[in-house]
Amino acid sequence: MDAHITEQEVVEIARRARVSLLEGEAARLAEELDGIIEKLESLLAFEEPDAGERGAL
Amino acid sequence: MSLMGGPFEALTACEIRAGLLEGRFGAREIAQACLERIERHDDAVGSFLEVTNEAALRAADAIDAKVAAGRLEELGPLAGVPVAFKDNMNLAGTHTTCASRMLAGRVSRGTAECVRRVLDAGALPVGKLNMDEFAFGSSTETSAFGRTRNPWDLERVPGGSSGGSAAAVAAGLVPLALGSDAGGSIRQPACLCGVVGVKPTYGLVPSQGVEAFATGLDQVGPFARSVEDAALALDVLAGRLDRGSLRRGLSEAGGGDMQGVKVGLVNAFMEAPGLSAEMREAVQRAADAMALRGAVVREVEIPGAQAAMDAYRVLGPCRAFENLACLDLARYGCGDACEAPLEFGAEARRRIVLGGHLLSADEGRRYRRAAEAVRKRIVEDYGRAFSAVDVVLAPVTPRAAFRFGEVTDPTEMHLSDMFTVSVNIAGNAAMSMPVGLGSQTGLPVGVQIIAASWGEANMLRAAVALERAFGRPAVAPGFSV
Repeated sequence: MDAHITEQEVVEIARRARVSLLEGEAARLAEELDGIIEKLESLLAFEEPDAGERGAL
Repeated sequence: MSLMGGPFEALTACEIRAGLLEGRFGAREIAQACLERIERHDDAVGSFLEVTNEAALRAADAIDAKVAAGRLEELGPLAGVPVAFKDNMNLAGTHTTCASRMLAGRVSRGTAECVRRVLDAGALPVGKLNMDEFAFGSSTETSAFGRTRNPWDLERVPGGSSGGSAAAVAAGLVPLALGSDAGGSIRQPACLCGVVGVKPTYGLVPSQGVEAFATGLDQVGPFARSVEDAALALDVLAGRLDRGSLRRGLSEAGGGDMQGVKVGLVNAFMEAPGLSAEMREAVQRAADAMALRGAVVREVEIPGAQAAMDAYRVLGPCRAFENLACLDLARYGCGDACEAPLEFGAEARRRIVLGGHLLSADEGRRYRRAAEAVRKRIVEDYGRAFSAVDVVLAPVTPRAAFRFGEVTDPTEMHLSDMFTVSVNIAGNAAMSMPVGLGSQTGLPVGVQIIAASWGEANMLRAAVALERAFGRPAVAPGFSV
């Protein structure tokens, strides 16, 4: 199964956000956040196809 | 130090103002008593990042001058009351760091509107309080500037992210402090430290000048050691000193009478795995106390609340990432340094990267849509509940204060907010009310009183009933005379 977030993507997001990562942290974060996103899958049961996005309240 | 024979730490904000007006003591005496306590005790607690001695004494002298000139009508509702502020609130001339190394040394040029209202009401500004870095946390352990300790057990956390605010009030260093709450960051530390903590309805208190990182979720609110003080602080923060005054409404409602008030209990909360027996007992004791005073207690359901944690885990990081750009504005005059990497702590990095992913990836759009659908569902659920009851009684957090380093798994740390986040997602009002000590740990336990949006009057009325039943929160042992 494909990962939800890869190490490469973590590096790219951190670069865009100018967030400095420790050595090895990108790989660790990718694994950790992949696990978190995996657990969020139950949230998709609430997804409404035509809900759209309201952005900030 | 005592004030006219009584210990400073025993006085509430209302008592301080009354004593000032009656001439029992002066504002400078109050300021000195407060600053002396901070100097004597805060090494042990670590609640303050900065103490503003000169500003406090200057404000005190201005009040004393008015009293000496007989201009008592010019004294505001917080005249002479020492107040401290979470370090995400700008106060001109102070460092506002959000407990992050990234903002170390940054001095505020302006003052947040909520802080300005408190100072205009006559409060004495005594300093800035420790917090989790950028409010990302539930224990104040992620602060870049050291830990804050729970005054009830110095080996345990005060909660977070407004841990410094809760601890300062619990140790009797100040009678009032301000914090902010995006998922439980006022209510949870208030519970763990045994003080009153209020998250007002979203929009009641202005957020201009507060370095918020969860726009749409967080709200500034007070910590206090009495319900009356909390109501007074809310009046000042909301700009409601005449019509709609919550404090005046408390005395008009009849202290502690709950006749005809309908109180809801959420079975899913009470049966939640991970909820400690003593926290469950605390909620039941509170419900029983309210019933004894005439309340009708019944079950209500908030089905959407079960998905609230997951929705918050999407909405929070997305907001954090979106607000990140504001940090460049926060680093005034940084010049070429603006291109340098931003030095966040580990928890902040985790949330920002997650937010970045959820905002940019195709699948992220699905999670955000689902989270917004959960928000809509929770708003509807609370609406239905509040058509049947006046307030909902719930746990604040699963367990009493834990030891430093005991909770290291971020997922487990997030569970601290499992009973509080749905309120932020819906925008409702809620508060944490202490109800004594836990039967197992002997540590403070509290209950959450949730009201409909703009339902602060109902919430505070129920809180007064609990205060009559369980007593006003005491200063933590070891910090009281």
